[in-house]
Amino acid sequence: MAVPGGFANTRSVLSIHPVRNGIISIHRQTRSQEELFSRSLTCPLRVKTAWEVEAAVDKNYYNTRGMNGRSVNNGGCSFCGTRNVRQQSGCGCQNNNGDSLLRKIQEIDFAIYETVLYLDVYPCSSEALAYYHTLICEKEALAKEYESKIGPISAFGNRDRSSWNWVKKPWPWEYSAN
Amino acid sequence: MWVYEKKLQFPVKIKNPDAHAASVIISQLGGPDGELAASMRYLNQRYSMPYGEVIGILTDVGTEELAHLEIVGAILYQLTKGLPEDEIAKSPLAQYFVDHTAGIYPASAAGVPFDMKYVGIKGDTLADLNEDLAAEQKARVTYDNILRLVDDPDIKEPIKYLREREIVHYQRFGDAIRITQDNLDSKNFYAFNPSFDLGCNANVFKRQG
Repeated sequence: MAVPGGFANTRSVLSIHPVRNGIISIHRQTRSQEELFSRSLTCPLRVKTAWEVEAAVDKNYYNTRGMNGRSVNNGGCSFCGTRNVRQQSGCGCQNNNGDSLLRKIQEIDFAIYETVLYLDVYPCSSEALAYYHTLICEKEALAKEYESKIGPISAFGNRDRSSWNWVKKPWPWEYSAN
Repeated sequence: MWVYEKKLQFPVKIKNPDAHAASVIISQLGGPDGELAASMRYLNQRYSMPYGEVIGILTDVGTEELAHLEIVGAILYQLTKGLPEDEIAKSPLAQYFVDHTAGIYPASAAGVPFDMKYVGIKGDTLADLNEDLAAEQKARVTYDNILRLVDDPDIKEPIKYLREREIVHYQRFGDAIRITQDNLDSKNFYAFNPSFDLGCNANVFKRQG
């Protein structure tokens, strides 16, 4: 039962993004996905993408300029050619030392975290729950690949039996680790 | 418990050190509306919350704020790495440098060390959630101000990301207040502390079957 006043009409934000659009376009949700969510949500809520809120809050930060102040290249990232990804200096595609795998994990972890926050307050959303399970499935495979090729993500994941790589690889705040 | 993951939530790759930028961005490490204050606020507010949904969002947002603390730390680390002494001397970072060198010490841009006085924990669901909503907006404004003071796109990208997160967290805390009010007894017109609202707790038990 709603109590007078307060946040009964709070505009809710569903900012889950398609994983392949990448961390750079985090709030650019495809139309079909947005519709999928708004149709299936059983909670009484008004779905809005965070991108829509953002655009209303401040168009200048996001819509007119690409990364590094260059105009947005609609053909995709100039480094890796991935469509729907804005170019940026640290996208990782320019390196071949496994950074792009790290970027994929960062992207999917972001999507998982967004879904987790959403599910915390909309636990009856079966669609969000299904999306969550798709994501963690994909994450498990990526994490396995990363830990065998590059190094442990957490101290529980040192897969190399002959070396304690946890302390050998660069730490996240290093330029080279990004 | 918590387990550390050895990666940033959002990449930080700053090519040019910048003492002026570091001297203002440090406020989001240990300032009144910084990431450390945010994390301490949410994680310590959890214990008096009566609903699983609200405890869940405080846990997960509080944890994400720790990831943001590390992003701000990485920005500061890269901004001060290899900075020539003469550049430090003529920047506002000189006063920080004399005490902390290039160490990362949680303080505000004005040099005030981090203080739990920034954080409100009242033990009252609605008081605490309203504090959280205000905190997210204040952090968002601080990021807006940083974006006004900084030019380098390498610095601005992670700052813009952090600013966006404040907006999303604000929405989630709004949802948490809605959940709380939905659980209150309708006779509890002024939405008193649900921990002491017997009718409200009866509703929760009914809901849980």
